[in-house]
Amino acid sequence: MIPELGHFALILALFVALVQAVVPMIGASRGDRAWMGVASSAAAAQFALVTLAFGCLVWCYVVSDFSVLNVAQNSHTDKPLLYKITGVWGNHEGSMLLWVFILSVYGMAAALFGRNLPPTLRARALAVQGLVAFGFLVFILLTSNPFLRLDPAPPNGMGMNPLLQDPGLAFHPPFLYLGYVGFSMAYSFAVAALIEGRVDAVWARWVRPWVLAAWCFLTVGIVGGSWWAYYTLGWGGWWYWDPVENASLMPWLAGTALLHSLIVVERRDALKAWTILLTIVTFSLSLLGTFLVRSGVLTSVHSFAADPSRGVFILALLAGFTGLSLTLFSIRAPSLKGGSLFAPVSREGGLLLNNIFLSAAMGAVLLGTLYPLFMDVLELGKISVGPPYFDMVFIPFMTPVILAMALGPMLAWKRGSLKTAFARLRISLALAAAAIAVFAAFHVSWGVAASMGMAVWLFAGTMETLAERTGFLRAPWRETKRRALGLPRSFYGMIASHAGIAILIAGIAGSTAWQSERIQIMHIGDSVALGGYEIKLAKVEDGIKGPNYTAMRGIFDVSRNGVQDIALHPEKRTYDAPPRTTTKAATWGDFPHNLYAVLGDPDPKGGYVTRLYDKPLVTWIFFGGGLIALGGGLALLDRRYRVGAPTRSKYAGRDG
Amino acid sequence: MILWLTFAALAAAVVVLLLYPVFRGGKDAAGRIAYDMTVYRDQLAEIGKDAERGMMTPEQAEAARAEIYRRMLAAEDAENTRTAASSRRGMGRVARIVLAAFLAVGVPAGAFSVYAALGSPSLPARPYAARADDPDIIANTKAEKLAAQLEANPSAAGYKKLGDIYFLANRYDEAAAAYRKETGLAGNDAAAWSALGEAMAMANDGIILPGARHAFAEAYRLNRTDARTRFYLGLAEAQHGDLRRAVAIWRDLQKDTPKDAPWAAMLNGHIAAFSKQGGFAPDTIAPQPPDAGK
Repeated sequence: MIPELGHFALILALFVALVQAVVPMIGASRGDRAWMGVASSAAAAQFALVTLAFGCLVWCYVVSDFSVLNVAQNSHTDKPLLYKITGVWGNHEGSMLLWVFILSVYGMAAALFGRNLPPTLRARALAVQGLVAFGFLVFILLTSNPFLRLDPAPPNGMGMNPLLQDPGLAFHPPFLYLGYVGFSMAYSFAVAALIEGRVDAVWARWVRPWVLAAWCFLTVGIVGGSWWAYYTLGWGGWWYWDPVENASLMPWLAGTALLHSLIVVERRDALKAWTILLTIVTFSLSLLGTFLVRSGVLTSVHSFAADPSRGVFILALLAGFTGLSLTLFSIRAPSLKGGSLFAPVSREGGLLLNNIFLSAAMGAVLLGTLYPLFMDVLELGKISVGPPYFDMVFIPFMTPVILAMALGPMLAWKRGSLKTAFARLRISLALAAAAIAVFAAFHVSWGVAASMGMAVWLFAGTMETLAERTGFLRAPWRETKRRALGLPRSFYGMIASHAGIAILIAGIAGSTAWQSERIQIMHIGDSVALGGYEIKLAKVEDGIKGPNYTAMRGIFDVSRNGVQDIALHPEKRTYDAPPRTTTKAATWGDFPHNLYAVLGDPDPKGGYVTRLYDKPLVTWIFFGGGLIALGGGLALLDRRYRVGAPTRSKYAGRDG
Repeated sequence: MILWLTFAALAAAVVVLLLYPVFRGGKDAAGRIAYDMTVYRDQLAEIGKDAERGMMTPEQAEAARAEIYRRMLAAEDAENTRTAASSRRGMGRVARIVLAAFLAVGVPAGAFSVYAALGSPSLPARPYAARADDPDIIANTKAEKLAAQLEANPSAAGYKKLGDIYFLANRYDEAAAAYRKETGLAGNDAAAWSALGEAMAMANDGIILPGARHAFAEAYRLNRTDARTRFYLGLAEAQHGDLRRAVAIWRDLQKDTPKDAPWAAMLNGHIAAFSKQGGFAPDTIAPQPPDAGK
C-alpha cells in the first residue's frame, strides 16, 4: 500500500498545485481575502502531500520494495542503510521528487514566515510558486514517475552507481537543490511584483532573505560537491569546468549579483528593472542547470539516464517560465522608474560594477557551456570547450570584481571618493604589494604572484573595513567594543564572505602553483619523497570486505624528518552490484600541506601503480568556500529580516 | 478497500485544509500601506542608530531620512490612488460557494481519475523482508549462503548444487559460472560439462555459441551415452543450418531412448518439426551419432 499511497499523494499534490496557482491569483486581482487565503493552506497541503510522497519513496528504498520499478533499478538489499536512503535521490526520478519536495518546503516557509508581507503580494508569489510546482509535478508524473510498479518483483535490485556511494550524496544534491529551488522564491516574488506593478525598497527587503538563503545553500552545495569530487574521484582536482559544474556556477554568479543589486534597491530605490531582470535570469539559469543535468544532454556521473522526452519537457518548462516572466517584464519595465541618482564612484557604483562583471563572467561561462551543445545539435561537429577557455575568460572578468570588492565597502553611498577609500586601505595596498614582491621573488609565475597579491589585498582590505567601522585602535577599546556589538549581522556576513573569497583565491593559487605529483610503480617497501615527506608503501592488503564491495587497500607510511606519524589508506574497491571498480583516495592534511594518495592497478611484476600528490593550500579552497556560505547565513540572521507584521490598529479597514 | 479508504481520508483532509480559509472568510488585516510603513519606520530607526554610532555624519543621516520620508509620501499617494481606483471588495458569497464546491469536488475527482490512469491499486507492496515465501528470494538466499561457503571451501559437489539452484531460478549466467567451477574441480565429469553447456545455451536464449558447443563436445568425449549431450549436439547442428545431420543425431538418440523417458515426447517433436522444416521425411535419414572428434 505504501508505494500506492505515495503515488496518490503526489497526484493529489498536482491538483493542489493547480488550485494554488489559480485561486489566489484571482483573489489578489479581485481583492478577495478568502480566495487569497487559499494560497497559504494550499502551500501547507502541498508540503504535507509531497512530504508524504517523498517519505513513501524513502520507505520503499529502506525496505527494498522491488515491486517499485525505481527501487529495483537503483537499489540493492546489500546497500548500507545510509545509501538506501540517499539512493532515493541518486537517480533521475527520485532527484526530481527531491526537487519538488524542496519547492514545497519553500512554499511552506513562505506561508509561515510571510506574515510581514502584504496579503496580495504573498498570495501572488505563492500562486507563481504553485505554477512552478504544477509544471514540475506534471513533468514527474508523465515522464519520470518514481512510483511506477513492477510485477513480478525481481529477487533483487540492480544497485546504485558505486561512485555515488559516499556520504557526499547525503548533502551535495539536497543543498544544491535548496539553492536552485530557493531562487524560485525570488522569481515568484519578482513575477508577483511585476503583476502588482510595484518594485520598491520595501519589496527588496522582503525578497532578500529568500535570495540569501538560496545563495547560502547553493554555495554549500557547490563547495561540498567540489570537495567530494576532490576526495573521491581520484584525479586530484576539485574543479574541471565540466558543463555540469558550470550549470551550478552560473546561477551562483547571477545570484551573487542579485544579492548585491538588491542592496541597492533596498537602500536607494535604484537599479530596479535590472534587479528584476537578474531575478528572472537567476531562476532561469537554475532551470537551465536542471535541464542540462537531467535531460541527458550531457553524460556524466550526474546524468543518470538519457531520455529525450524528458529533455524536451524541461526545455519547455524553462521556455515557459522564462518567457512568461520576460513578457511581463517587457510590459512593466517602463513603469519601473529608477529612483535615486548616484555618482559613478559610490557604494552603488561599486555594487553596479560588481553586477556588470559578475554578469559578464556568467555570460562567458554560459557561452562556453552551451557552445559545444549548439555545435552538436546543429551538426557542425563535436568540439569541447575546456579549462583553457574558461581560465582565459573567467579570470579577467573576475579580477576587477576582486579588486573592487575591498574598495566598495569603503565608499560612501551616493557619492564616494576613491582617494579617501584608497587612503583608508593604505595598509592593505602595502601588504598586497609586498606579497606580490615576495611571491615573485620566490620564482613562482606572475599569475600566481598576482593572485596572491589579490588575495592579500582583499583579505587585508576586508579587515581594514572592519577596523574602520569599529574604530579599532583609533577609538578607545570600550568604544570599539560597543561599536562592534552594534554593527548589524549583515555587515559581519559581508566581512566573512569577502574574507572567504580571499582565502579561496589563495587556496586556488597555492594549490596550482605548488602542487607536486609523483606517478610511479611502487613495490612493497619502496619510498617516494614528496613535499618534504617520505612516503613508503608498507603493504597492500587484498580482499578486504566492505558491506557490498571487496577492496584492495594500500598502507602508506608517511614520515617527516625520519619520524613516521601518519598512514594513508587509499583503496581500490570492486562493488558486487553493479560490478564496478572505484578508487577511494586517501588524504591527509596539516597546514599547509595536503597529501593525496591513490592506489592503482597492480602490475605483473608485483608492483602497484600509485599516484601521490602534495597539494598545499587546497583545503583553503573548501574552507574559504565554507566561510562564504557562513557569511550569507550571518546576513540572513540580520534583525531587519525579522521585522514583524504591522499591527492592524492603525491602517485597518482596507483590503490588502 | 483499506487502500481506497486511506486515499479518501487523505483527499478529505486536503479538502478541509483548502476550504478553511474560504469559510473563515475575509477577516480584514492591515492594508498594503501598513506593511510598507513598517519597513520604512524600521529603516528610519536604523539610520538613527547608525548616526548615533558615528557611522554617518548628521548631514548624511538627514539626507537619508529625507529620502525615506519621500518614499513614505509616495507610498501614501500610491495607496490613495489605488484605493480610489479599485473599490472592489471581494467577490461575494456566491463566488465563494462556487469556489468551495469546486475545491471539494474538483480536487478529489481530478486526483482519483489521474490515479486510475497511472496507479496500480491492486498490486500490494512487496518489502523484501516480507517476501520470505517468494521462491525467487528463497533461491537467492540459499544461493548466496552457499556461494559464500564455497568461496571459503570450494567443492565440485557444492558448485553443482549452486549451479542447480541458479538454473532453477532462471539465472543462467550465474549457473554457468558455478558449473564452470565444477568442471574445473571435478576433473573429467561429463555431467558437469553437459550442465555447463546447457546453462550457457539458456543464458543465450537457447543459442549454442562456440563456448557451449565446446562444453557439449567435452561432455560427449567423456560419455557417449548421455541423452542431454546428444540432444544439444543435434540442436547445435540444426542451428548451424544442417537439419539432416541434426535429425540423424536425434534419430540415433531415439534408438536408445526408452518409450517412457521424460524427454521422449520432446525428442520426437523436434525430429518431426525439423524434418518438416527441411522438407524431408525423417525415415529417409539414417541414424548417426555425433562426431566424436570435435
